[in-house]
Amino acid sequence: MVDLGWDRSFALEQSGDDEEILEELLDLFRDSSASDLAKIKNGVADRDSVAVADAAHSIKGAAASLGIEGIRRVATDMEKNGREGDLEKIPDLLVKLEALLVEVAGIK
Amino acid sequence: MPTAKEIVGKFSELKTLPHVAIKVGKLANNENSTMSDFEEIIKLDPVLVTRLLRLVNSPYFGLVQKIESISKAVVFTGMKQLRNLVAIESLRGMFKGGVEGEFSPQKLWLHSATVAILAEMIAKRIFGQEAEDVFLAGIIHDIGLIVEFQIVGDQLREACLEFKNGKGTIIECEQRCIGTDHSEVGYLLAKGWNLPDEVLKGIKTHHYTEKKKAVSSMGSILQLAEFMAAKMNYWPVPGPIEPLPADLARHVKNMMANYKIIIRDVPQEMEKAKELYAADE
Repeated sequence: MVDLGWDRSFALEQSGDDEEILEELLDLFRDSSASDLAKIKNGVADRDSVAVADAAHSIKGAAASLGIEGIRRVATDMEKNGREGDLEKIPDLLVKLEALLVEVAGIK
Repeated sequence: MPTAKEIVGKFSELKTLPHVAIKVGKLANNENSTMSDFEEIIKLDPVLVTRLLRLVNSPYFGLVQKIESISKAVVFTGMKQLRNLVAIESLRGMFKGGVEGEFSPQKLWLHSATVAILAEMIAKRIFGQEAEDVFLAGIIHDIGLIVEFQIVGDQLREACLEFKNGKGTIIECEQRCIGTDHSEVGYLLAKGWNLPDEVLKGIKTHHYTEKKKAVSSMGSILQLAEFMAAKMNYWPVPGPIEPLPADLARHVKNMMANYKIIIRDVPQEMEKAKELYAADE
């Protein structure tokens, strides 16, 4: 189990201390990470490590901007493996990532 | 003959990179920058905001939702991508002007965009690198030609003519007619723009003919991308295609299958990125 490790005060600061903007950004993150997750899964199915790395890169950046450390870390690992052309560990990391994204669905 | 430094000095008196581009470059290099830092600087230029949002929402990024603010753009494209878009918008205007002799600024812009896209693909697919800095280097790598075009235009046209007539590489012809060349001039100009060192080194070394840099370095990636762009006829100055240095040629031979896939995918990537390099309306 990986901890989500969300730094809410950082995320709020990033949103210019505006709760509404924070909520919008989280919504956007939920949408975009769902789409990136699908890209990672397709990438694994197609043995396309570049696609996996690119989608993980996108999740990594967005998670970092919103202070969601747990996701940033898993996405960083995924990107690194993908860039090295190594897809072996991706399924394990995917399980972690999906669990964390479920948690994100519930945060406010 | 004027030195590279004098040429750059004169050019800088005429044209400067907008303040906002330099500031954004600085922010993108700093890990502690926040998205509101970007928003604050960029919003001072409403035209830039509109243009950036158009690019962020273009197919190149393939985002699921429409992005309506700069801070959201930072989150979903990343700081370095946003820096690249600001650079594109700032540089686009420098590549204006009609064809004179053998030199066309518009062709050079299209060439730069092609090299940026190819370099990004090579960095990611062949070397497993992150590619934001490589993309920026691709956009800027030939800026020295624009400087020469503006400041020592006659000599540049002469150099281009010599190049076309097979009297040496473009660098050799520039050295003979101008006394310096676009990699040196471009490097000196870009040095004042707060760009990452790797990008500057890439500009400086992208025409090295001897084995002086690693195959996976930015200069080599630019050289590979430029070679492929030339083969695809995206070459700004008509003339013979410069062969790759021996170590890079060997590398391509060994990785031919991977490069063939890149060549297959380039048109699609170019189409996706069309709005990035489309000329001003």
